[in-house]
Amino acid sequence: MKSSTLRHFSTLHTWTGLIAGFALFVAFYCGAITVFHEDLHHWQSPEHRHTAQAVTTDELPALIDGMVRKHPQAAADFFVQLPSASAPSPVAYWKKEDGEWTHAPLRVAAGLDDEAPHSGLADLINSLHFSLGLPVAGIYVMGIVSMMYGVALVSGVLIHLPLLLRDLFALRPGRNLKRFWQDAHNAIGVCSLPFHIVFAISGALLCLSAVLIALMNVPVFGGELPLEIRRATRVSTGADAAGEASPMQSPAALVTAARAAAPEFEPKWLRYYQYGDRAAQVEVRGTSPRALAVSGGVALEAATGRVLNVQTGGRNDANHAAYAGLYALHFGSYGGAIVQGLYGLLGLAGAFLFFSGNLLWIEARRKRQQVAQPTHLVRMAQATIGVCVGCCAAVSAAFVATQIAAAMPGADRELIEKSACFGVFFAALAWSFVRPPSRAAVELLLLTAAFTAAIPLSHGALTGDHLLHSALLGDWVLLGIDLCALLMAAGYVWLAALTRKRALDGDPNSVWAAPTDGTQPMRQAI
Amino acid sequence: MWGRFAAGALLGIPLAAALTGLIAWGWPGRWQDVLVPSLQLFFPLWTAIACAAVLFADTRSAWLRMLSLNIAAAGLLTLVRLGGAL
Repeated sequence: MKSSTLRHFSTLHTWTGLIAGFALFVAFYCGAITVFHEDLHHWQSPEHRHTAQAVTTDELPALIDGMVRKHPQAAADFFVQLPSASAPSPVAYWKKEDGEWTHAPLRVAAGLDDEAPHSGLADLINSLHFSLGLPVAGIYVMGIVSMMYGVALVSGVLIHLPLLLRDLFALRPGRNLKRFWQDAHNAIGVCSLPFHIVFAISGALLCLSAVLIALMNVPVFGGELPLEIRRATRVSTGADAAGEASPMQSPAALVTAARAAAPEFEPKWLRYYQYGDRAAQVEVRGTSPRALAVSGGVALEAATGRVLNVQTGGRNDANHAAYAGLYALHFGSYGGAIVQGLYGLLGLAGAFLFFSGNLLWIEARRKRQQVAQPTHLVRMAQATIGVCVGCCAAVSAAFVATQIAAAMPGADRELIEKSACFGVFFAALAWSFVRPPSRAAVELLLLTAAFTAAIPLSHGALTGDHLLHSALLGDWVLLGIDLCALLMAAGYVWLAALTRKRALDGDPNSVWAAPTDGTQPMRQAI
Repeated sequence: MWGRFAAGALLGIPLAAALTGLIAWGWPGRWQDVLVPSLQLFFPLWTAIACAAVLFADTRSAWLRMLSLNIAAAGLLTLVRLGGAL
C-alpha cells in the first residue's frame, strides 16, 4: 500500500473512531450488561422473588380472556409469556389506545392484581445500550455511529495490515507506553474482529432498518418492500378479523400442536392476532437449541389449531434463518451461559478498545519536552474520563438506586433509577472538566468502585438476599450478579491505583502526570 | 481526503442500495426468497464503498466517478428487473 493511502486510512480511522468512540463505549459497556437482561429482571424485582403468585398453564385462558375484556383494543395484536420456572408470573405485551406498546404481569393486565410500581433497571441499561437513553432520535444517532464504527474497523485493519501478523501477539511493556497501549489496542481489535464486524453490521441494521426500508422501497423494490419484509421476518403476517366470534384453542393445545410440528422447539411466548375472532392467528414463539437461528416460531389458526407456517431453527427458509441468525449473533443467545459470558467479556474488551483509542490519540500528540500540554489534549483527556468512567459510575449508581427504591413503598422506582443514572453521569462529566485529568481519573474511578461495591451491599442489606444467602439457596443468578459487582469494584480500585502511580511516578510531560506548581516535589503535590 | 470520503459516504448510499437490489433481483429465483440476506449486505457494501472512495485521485473525480457508478448500477438494476418481468 502507498504511504499516502496508508495516511488517508489512518486519518479516517482516527476521526471516525474518535467521534463514534464515546457513544460506542457506552453501547458496549451497557451491552455487556444487557446480555444478562433476563437475569437482571430477577435481581431488580426483590418483591417478586419469594411472594410472586405462580400462574399455571390451565389458568391462562381465563387470564387472557380477562385481559382482552379489560383492554379490548389489545385483541388485534398482543404477546403472552408462557409460565416457566424462570418466569412463574408471566408477562403480557399489548398496544395501548395510542398505539404504544406497554407491558405488565398477566394477572395485572387481567385486573386480578393491582398495578404496583416496578423497577425499570434492565430496560434503562438496554435503552442506554441502543439509544444512549436519548428519546426518539437516539436510535438513529446510534445507527450512524454504527456506520462510522464499520468505517473505523475497515480502515483500522487496513492500516494495521502490513504489521498484522508480526505484531499480533506482541505486547511490549516498558518505557515506551505508547507502544504498549498501541499493542493492546491492536491485539484486542484484531482478536475480537469477527465480533466487531457482527456488531457493526447488526447494530446498523437494528437501528436503521426502518430508514433502509423507506429508502429502498419504491426505487428498488417497486413499493412491495414493507409487505415482503413482514412475510420474510414474521411467521404469521397477522390476520384480518372475520367479524365472527369464536372460542379459541387453549394455549396448552396450541403449544402441543406447535411441538408436534417442530419437536425440538421450546415454546416461550404466544403472539395473538385478532384474539376471539374466527380468523384469529397465533404465533407460538420460542427457541430451538442447537441452532444459530435460535429463535423462531410456529403459526397456527387460533380457533382450530391448524398449523399454517413453521419457521424454527433448522426448519426455516433463507430469510427467516438469516434474520434470526443475525439477531442471535447480536444478542449472544445461541450458545447458553458460556456464550453469554463470552459476550459479556468481549463487550467489556470492546469498551476498552474505544477507551484506549482515545488515549492513543492523546499520546500521539503529547509534547514530550514540556510539562504544560496543549489545551485540546487536556480537554480530550477530561472528556474521555468524564464520559467513560462517568458511564461506569452512572450504571453502578442505577443498580444501587434500584435496590434502595425497591425498599421504598409506593416510590416511583423507574424515576429514581433514571435520576440516579443520569444525575451521576452529568455530575461526573462536570467534575472531570473542572479537575486536572489525572486527578479526575483517580477520583471518578474510586467513586465508581464505591458505587459498584455498594451494589451487593445494598442488595444484601435491603432484601436479606446477601451473597451467602444466595449461595446457600443455590440462586446462582443473584450470586453471579453480586459477585461480578464485587469483582468489578476491585478492578476499579486497581485501575485507580495504577492511574495514581502513573500520575506520581510516570513521565511528568503528559496530561496524565500529577499537576505541580513547579516548586514542590511531585509526591507532595497530590 | 475528506472530500473523497464524503463522496463515497453520501453517494455510497444509493450505490449500495442499487447493488443490494441487483443481488436480490439477480438471484436465480424470486427476489423475495433472498430478501433478508440481500438487505443484510447493504451496510457491508456501503462501508466498502465509503472506504474505497478515499483511493480516488482527487475530490472532483471521486464525485464524478461515484455519480457514474450510481448511474451504471441503477441502469443495470432496471435492466435486470425488466428482464425478470419479461
